[in-house]
Amino acid sequence: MSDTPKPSSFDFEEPENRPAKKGSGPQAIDLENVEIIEEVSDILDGQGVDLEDTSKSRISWTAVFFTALLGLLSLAVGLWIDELIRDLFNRHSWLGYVGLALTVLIVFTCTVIIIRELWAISRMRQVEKLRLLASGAYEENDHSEAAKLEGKLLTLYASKPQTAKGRALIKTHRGDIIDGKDRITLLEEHLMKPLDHEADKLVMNAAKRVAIVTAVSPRALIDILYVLAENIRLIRGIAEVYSGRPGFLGTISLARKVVTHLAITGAISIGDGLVQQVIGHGIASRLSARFGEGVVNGLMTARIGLAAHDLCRPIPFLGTKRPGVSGYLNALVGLSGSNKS
Amino acid sequence: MGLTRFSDDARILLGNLGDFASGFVNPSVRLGVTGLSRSGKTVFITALVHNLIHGGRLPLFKALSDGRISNAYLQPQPDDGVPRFSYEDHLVKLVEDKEWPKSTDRISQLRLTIDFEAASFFTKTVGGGRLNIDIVDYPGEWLLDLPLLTKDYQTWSSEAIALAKLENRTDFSKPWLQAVGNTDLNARADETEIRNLSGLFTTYLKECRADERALSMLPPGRFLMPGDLRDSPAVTFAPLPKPDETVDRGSLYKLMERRYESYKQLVVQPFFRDHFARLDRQIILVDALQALNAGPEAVKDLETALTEILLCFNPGRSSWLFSILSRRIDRLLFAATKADHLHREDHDNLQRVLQSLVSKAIERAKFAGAKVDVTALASVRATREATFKSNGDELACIAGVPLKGEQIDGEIFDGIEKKAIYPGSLADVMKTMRMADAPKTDLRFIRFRPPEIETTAEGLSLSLPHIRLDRALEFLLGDKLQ
Repeated sequence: MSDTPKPSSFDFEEPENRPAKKGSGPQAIDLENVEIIEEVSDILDGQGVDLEDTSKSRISWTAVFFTALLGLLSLAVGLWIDELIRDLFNRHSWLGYVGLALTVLIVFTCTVIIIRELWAISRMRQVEKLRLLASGAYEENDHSEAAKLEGKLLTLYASKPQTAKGRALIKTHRGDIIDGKDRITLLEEHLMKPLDHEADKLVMNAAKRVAIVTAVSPRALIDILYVLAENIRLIRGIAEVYSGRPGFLGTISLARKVVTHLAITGAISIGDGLVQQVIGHGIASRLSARFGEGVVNGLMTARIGLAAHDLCRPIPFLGTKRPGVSGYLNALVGLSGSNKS
Repeated sequence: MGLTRFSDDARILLGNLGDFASGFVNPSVRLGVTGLSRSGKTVFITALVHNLIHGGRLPLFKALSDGRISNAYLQPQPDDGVPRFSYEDHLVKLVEDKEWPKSTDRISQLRLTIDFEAASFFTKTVGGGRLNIDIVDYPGEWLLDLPLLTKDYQTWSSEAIALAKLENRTDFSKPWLQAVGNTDLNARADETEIRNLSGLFTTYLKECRADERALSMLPPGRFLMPGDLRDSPAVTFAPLPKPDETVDRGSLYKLMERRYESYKQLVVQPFFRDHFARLDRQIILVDALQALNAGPEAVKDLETALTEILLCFNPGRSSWLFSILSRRIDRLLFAATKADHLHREDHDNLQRVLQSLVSKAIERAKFAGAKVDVTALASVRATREATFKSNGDELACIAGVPLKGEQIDGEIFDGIEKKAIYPGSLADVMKTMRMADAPKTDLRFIRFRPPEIETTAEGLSLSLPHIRLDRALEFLLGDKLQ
């Protein structure tokens, strides 16, 4: 800034007769011309959910082919429905009406489902943006970015009853002068903790169920199907805890991300989990081979749960400790039913 | 040359042994609140105690925000010979009269006890969930004496005279320097002469401290704030240049030298031994704004003073064995006080200013293994933030009631009316702070009166507002309350 204003004071009472003296000596200012800030300016304005897809669109021949095919298919379906309803009317007029009503219902629900899916995807994207915002603000210790994050989180969780206490507390500190890092730690401590707790419980229960089912199931195929279903359910559950129902498409994309995440972090977490895994497996398999398998499957589920946890949490683990697989191991090996949370 | 003599070391060791033994039954932390005069020690202590006792808004102070502190209260202090910190009086003055406490003129002590639910098993079983915090308040001027412990009369004199001849001090030091020039060092000691010299020297020191110069490096501290030693021979002396030839025993020079030595021995040593050699945690409060107000010389002077003082402390990691032998400060917080005189946009810059002022001390403490943090804080927040809009420009201001007599831009405040102040931005100062021929800074930090305490809808008064006091507390005491 080349033209920095000089120090100055402003009266609160005087009418607006003095302009800001840019480039003059220290000044005092009228309170009337001044807006007292009780809170950080409302950053929620015009924030909106950004639906824009940033990925570059390229013409892909496969996509054109499938689009054309899909168009043709939908035309065929349309034609078929049209003919069907005509036939129904020909048979009996009331049959025709029932058919029409059912068609309307199908179209309506289909729209609702699509809207819901889109909504869910946009919410997931928003969470992703929040994560970026949070890690950026934490790294830079930027208080205004942190306040922005706080505002967004407060709206995001406005309807989550578990966070009521945390939200009330955070709101009382809204206008306080707190450093960026500290504010984010505060958010994690008060807003995220109840949710973390819930997610933790989900992971723990899923891991336990998988371990037990693997241990007692008679057929390998049943294990596989069960583990798959349980893991998908877990991912959905965790997403629901943090940001709301992920929807069908959301779940699929989340599952894909979880797998990628595991592949990336797998190498890192080997140090964390492998040793215990081997030991745990060793101890458990002494007792029974099946039980050992159960523990391994349970741990895998826990790991998937933690990956989902990492991906769905609007604030990455910055000021608080990230839960690790080892926390679940005891419970799995013991399976004494003691709730370690 | 060390700061302490052998007999002192023995006493400190004995004290530490005692502390260690009683620490098992009754864990206590000696919190050193260090700062030059007017850096806000008394206000910091008052705000700390008030916020803890009343469970104030301290979201970042974990033990309290987790609800683990069941009770915090004042207790009789351990040393019966030291006056009690008159917390209640300071609080009344602050909250009801809306005035800052007067400068402290004597030492005082306070013990705050916190009952808490320990989170860790060890603390729960051994410590019993109770922590005593011993805090000492004292005139900040006396801190300037600590560096004297390592200097003899000759060294100190030559330093003091060199300082007095600096450009920004000559107009005040002239009468004294002239008197020194006319003094015959070898003459027989004469009390009138000594008092005259000492009086002139004291006047010069006091003038240098006034707001417009805001100089800090003005030892000895008892000359500025004599406490109960006023007029005693130990505080009646002045620096003299080194005589060319040997001087007689009964000469003026010898007597001055003797008085300097007894000043060190009778005044400085006990103060250091009793209150500084045995600290666990330390917060160093620095009022950088006053120095910035006065210009680059004041900033440089502040830096010198801080560096010399901080050399006297013992930072380092404390292990339990080591802590019996010599107590170490294992956490050190540098705090730029009065952050409420600035808009929050400038807090980072204030922090950077402080960081550069005490960089040597930070390095030393880190090297010794102590944990160090730097922050900008306001123990009591006297202002609100405001934006001044005019012609589409926005100016980030602070609003509050300026103290009576403060002035900005020719306008003198009456201490009643609320004003919005734009004190200037620290961002530009950062660059020029170190330059010798830096242009006069366009900064004017105004002091404000203490704030109105807000009341809730039910009529309950809320605790004193603050900026980052909770962060400071968490850093200083958080681990003791785990």
